Amino acid sequence: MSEQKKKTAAQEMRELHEEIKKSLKPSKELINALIKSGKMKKKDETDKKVARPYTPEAGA
Amino acid sequence: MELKISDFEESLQKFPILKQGCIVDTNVIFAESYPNDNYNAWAEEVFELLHRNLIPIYTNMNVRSEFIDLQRRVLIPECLISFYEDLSTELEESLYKKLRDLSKNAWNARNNGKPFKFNESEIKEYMKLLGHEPSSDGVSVWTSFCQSYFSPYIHKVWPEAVKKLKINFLGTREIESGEFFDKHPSWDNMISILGESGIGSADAMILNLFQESKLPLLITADKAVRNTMLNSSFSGKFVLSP
Repeated sequence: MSEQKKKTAAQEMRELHEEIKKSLKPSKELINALIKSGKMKKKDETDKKVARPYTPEAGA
Repeated sequence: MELKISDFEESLQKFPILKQGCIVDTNVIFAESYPNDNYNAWAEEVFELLHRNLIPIYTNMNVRSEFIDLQRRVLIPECLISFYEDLSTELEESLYKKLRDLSKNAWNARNNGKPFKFNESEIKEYMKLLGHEPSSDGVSVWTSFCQSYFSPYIHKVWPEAVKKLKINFLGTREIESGEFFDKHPSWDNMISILGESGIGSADAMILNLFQESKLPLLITADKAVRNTMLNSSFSGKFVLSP
């Protein structure tokens, strides 16, 4: 018999949190503001490296 | 009188008045919504118990405001880490290093089951680092960062908590209707609570709200709030704490 436990309110809230997190991305305005302030290099389309989340194995 | 979660259902049989409802303090709602909070498991048990026994849950605007502020302290570092993961290799060296260290510290805290929150001065430090001063040709980097990363979260946290945790709001209308209150909470009484205990004004307001309400139960994970209530004249009232 498959045990399908009802999700707790906390689990549901955490799932929503993860959903929001996945949908976040920098806006065009943010990229422009970063470039204008010198806090970001102008994006080179051929170089699309993106940092992975920190783990001790991967380092920074 | 103090109640403990282990014998709460027994207390419900003994004191059926408890079914009339409770006021929940900020730290209980926050603990439920934040897995690394020290009282997360306890708060989950509390809400399950309240829902199972159909006990109405109430709160007020002081709790809402404190909850939003606690979420802000947790979500801003989380958002900065998402920002770092999206753009890091393109970022200027000192900003990159600062965010890399932040990401590492958050990872360590999470893996040790510890809460990871900013204090007010850390939030201001990152405001300054990204740049909060408005520029002539557009909004600041910090403002754009908040619009992209932080705002989508913070708009949803309170409505979501209200919906999922089945929280009811005690606003001016409820206070004035007399349905839930014997007396109107007052500034003077709040100051008396604060003056006799030394607790903060937000906590004193919640205690004053509870004191003047007809609701029999306060749920708090804050020892200072619990002790202040048990040391004061809250006759016929109950407190549930860890």
